[in-house]
Amino acid sequence: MRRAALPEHRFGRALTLALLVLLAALLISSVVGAAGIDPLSVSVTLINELPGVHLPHALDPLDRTLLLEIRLPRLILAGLVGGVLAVAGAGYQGVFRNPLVDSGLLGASAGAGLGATLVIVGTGSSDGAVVPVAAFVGALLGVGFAYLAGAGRRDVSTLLLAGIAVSMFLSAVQTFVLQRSTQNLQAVYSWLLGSVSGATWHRVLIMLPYAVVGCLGVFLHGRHLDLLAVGDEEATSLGMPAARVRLLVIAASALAAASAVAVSGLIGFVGVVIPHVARRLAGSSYRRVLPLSLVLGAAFLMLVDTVARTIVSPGELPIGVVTALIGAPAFVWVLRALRGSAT
Amino acid sequence: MTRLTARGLGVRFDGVDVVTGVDLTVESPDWLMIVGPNGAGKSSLVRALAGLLPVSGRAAVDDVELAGLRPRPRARLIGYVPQAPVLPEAMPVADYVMLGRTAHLGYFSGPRPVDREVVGSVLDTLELTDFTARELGSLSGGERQRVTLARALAQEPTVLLLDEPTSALDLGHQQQVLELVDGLRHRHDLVVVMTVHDLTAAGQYADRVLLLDRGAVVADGPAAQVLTAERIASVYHADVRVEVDDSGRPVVIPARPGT
Repeated sequence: MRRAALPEHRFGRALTLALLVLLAALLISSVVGAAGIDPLSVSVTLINELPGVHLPHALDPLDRTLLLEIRLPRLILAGLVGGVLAVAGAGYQGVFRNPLVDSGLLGASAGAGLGATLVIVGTGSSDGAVVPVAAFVGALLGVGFAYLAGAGRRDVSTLLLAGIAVSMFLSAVQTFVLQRSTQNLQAVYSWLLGSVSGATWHRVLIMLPYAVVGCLGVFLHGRHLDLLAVGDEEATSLGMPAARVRLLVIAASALAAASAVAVSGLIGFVGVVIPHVARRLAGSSYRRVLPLSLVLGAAFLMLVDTVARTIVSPGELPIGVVTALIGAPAFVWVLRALRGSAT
Repeated sequence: MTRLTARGLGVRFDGVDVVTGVDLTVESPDWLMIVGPNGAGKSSLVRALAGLLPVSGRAAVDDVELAGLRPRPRARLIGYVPQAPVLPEAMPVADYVMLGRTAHLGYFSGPRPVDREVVGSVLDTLELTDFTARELGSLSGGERQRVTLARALAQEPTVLLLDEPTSALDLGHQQQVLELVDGLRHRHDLVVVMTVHDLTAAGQYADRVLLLDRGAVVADGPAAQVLTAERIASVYHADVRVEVDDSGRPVVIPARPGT
């Protein structure tokens, strides 16, 4: 049948492409690093992890431990964070009918920043298990406040403005706290700039349930986000309770974004740029944008983290800095592309 | 047969009554045209019937009260095309028309074969089969109107509410849309309620015309009885001649004041 065959066809190709990019990113990121290990051995070692497979040319035990216990968890965490941030960003963009909205905008980033700052200043350390919890709770509270302040109006821009106001307020509180405790500046900033260093399987497992539930919540609303594109009133007249859908998607996106922020700090741009790339590849339907964003976001952040940990080796750049260095020019490209499509 | 009824229907915005005490009954496949000057409350009345505004009074489709009906069951009864529909530029026509199936899908389920069939046949009816992959942003005014009509028909409603579907169209496309609606209401046994500015179009196509002024019904009945020169002069402050054509339907001709 001719109808709708085109976008579906494009989607199949785009998804295949994205998965290949993800595979390549996985391989490149596991090979590149301080300890030189060759791609073949890495592939063999990874494949050997499958039950019942014993291929030759695996890595020696030391490199195997390096790969499986240090590099791989970091890689997976970066991928998870990237994918989740892209999905949460796309979810917010659908809810607000605005392709420039980021997952951090509704108070999640500022809330997480304040939560982490309070704990770091309070305990004098950015290590330990408390900072992620505080960031997670802070992110959810930030979004919650923004929602309570701005919901109830028909017009979604009120909610968005409330999110910006809440973010500014929380950032001001954070700055105030920091001002009074300058000895913790370095620790707070290194957290804020984002990092997945020190990743462990444990941390991956802590994040995973929230990320899965959040992303699943957004994924299940792909069709509803497409419907929201025609506005609340028409969506309602077509049989969808728009306000309830909005609340559900915001909650799911916030949960996903909070899980990412908790383990990685503030990483911008992924949530804006990746969904836009997905749209360019496969059209505007969220049923296609969401899965593509997940895969592309994961691949993107894996590669970015590889750059972050190798480019000034043996030192490391904060992943947030590298994302912004790549993301800021990409953001300008998004803006220009949007302007082009609007005319 | 379907019957749309309203009893004492009223709409209030910020303490101002924009529609008051409207009584109407329309039975399928009848076509009711709502006319009246700008600000008379035409759109508000239609949106109230669509269940999109809080109302006083009662409205019902057959025995189903519309107040308190949830969006999903309501959308299976009533298809609504707003005056200025939002058409997401990059959305393909087929996806847009599929939005009309929302009320027939489970919350988490996607389109089934039956939904694709309905969409296919609606596209066929409205001669849109060549447009399925086209993006909405690339359509002309007449095509846009057909696409929004297609979306409403994909709902498989029993009542079709159209808010000035012809106001942005040239004469030929106006006629096309009106003829289309006329065919559809007979084929699908629909109640059609439509607002329109063009009184002659109302006179030519409506089974009944309802004249609204400042939120209240001034006259309701066959076009020839409602659209008289005196009444139009008093409600619209316009000078017109009204002639009756061979089929007994009124033709409203604007005249220069004083001539």
